[in-house]
Amino acid sequence: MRHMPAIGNTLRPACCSIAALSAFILLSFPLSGADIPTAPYDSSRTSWNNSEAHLTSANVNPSGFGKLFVRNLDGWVYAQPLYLQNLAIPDHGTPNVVFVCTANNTVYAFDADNPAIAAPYWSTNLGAPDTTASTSTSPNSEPSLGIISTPVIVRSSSTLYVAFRLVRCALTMLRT
Amino acid sequence: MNASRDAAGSFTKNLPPLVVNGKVYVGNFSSQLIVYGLLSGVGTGPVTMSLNSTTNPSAYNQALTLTANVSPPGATGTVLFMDGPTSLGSATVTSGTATLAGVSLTAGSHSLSAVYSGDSIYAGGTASLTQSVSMAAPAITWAAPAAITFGGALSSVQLNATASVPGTFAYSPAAGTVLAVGNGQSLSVTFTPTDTMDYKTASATTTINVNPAPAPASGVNLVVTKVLSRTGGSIVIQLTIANTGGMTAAVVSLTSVKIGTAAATPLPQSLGAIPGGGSIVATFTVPGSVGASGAASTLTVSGSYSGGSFNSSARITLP
Repeated sequence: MRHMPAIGNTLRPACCSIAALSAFILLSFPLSGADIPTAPYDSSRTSWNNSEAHLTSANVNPSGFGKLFVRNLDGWVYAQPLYLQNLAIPDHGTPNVVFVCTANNTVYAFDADNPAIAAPYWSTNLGAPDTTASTSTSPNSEPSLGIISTPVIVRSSSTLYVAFRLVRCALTMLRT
Repeated sequence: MNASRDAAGSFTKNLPPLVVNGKVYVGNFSSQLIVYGLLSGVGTGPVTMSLNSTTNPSAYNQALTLTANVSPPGATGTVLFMDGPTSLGSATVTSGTATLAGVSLTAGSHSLSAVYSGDSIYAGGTASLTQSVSMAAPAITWAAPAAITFGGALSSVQLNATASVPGTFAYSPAAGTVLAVGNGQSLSVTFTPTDTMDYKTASATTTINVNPAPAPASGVNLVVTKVLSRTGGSIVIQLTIANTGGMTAAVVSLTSVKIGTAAATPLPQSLGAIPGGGSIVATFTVPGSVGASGAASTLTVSGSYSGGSFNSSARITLP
């Protein structure tokens, strides 16, 4: 595993047994124009990347568009992946990087373009997730509920904010 | 959650996938991140790459230029050049080529690779080669020394080779040796570099002329030269008694050898006869307690031969 040029990982203290927590992780991000730092896509919640010009109705078709590669993770993904363009990675230049989080409380940073770089540039696990929240009403019967919301990246302060849930003992408390 | 089943995995949720720069990133409930996009070189297959070095094998300190070719030539982006896990630098792909000049590698076998970043149209790729780098030969400079007169021992005046890199010199004959009379006598040196990983050992030779000494009126002239060293708590004194005269010195004997007031052992030493133009080496020891390394002192030598005696005194610095 490679490490980001990072590097703080500060957790807000929890006073309960099962806790929803938030963390901010300090990374080193230069400014870039094609970033997708929040869900869905921008602070206006448009769900639309209006600067996407490569995919068109002409080239997205069965012969020209398809699966490029897959990255295996340690848990289910509820959160929208996020994207930073031209992120400085030691010994790897300035590749585009996609950030993805799992319900197992792990945050990954993968090369967004190169199938040959399968290992994440960086990853961190924030602790054992809450596994007691599954209910009969849950359509997915989630095995764990760690990170289930999309983080936010503030590139100007080199920070990734992420909310997650931990298991401490038998009592559950939710907090945002 | 509004979950639904689709081809990306067991379930996806209602948050949209990430669409950016020609790719679609989808996380799923099968613990995967799946990346969709325009297939490489639509209709022409994936990118192909090759990596070449200007010189292979090369020598240490020899600058190399690495060239990565990416096909189709319309591919854009950057190529990162790696030496194993270490980055050598990156270069932009222009017309299907990325070039990194001025690459300097240590001696040995190197697994070099070029990693193409990919772009919005073409997927990334890699190419590799094994670069063999041999050790470099240090340059030894050693001019032929000026002629010496018989009786004078070799010293740093004659044994003064230099090398292009740091290291140590071992001369043959060694310093302190008194050469016989004659022209074109060979001197050699073996150089061992400090950096034995990247540089080879090297050797060089030169020649020296040894002129006969003018014979004194008596026909016998004994000249004493010394080499001092400290070994095992003792100071070792190696004396060379050369007869620079034209007649044989018979029954030569050393009767006194001292550093300061400390007498060397064993004494006396009978050296026998030393013919004109010849020499004999005798070795003595003095306890190391006579003085610390670097201390100044004096070495006095007295001896006799049939029909005469000889004495020598010199300022010395204790080894």
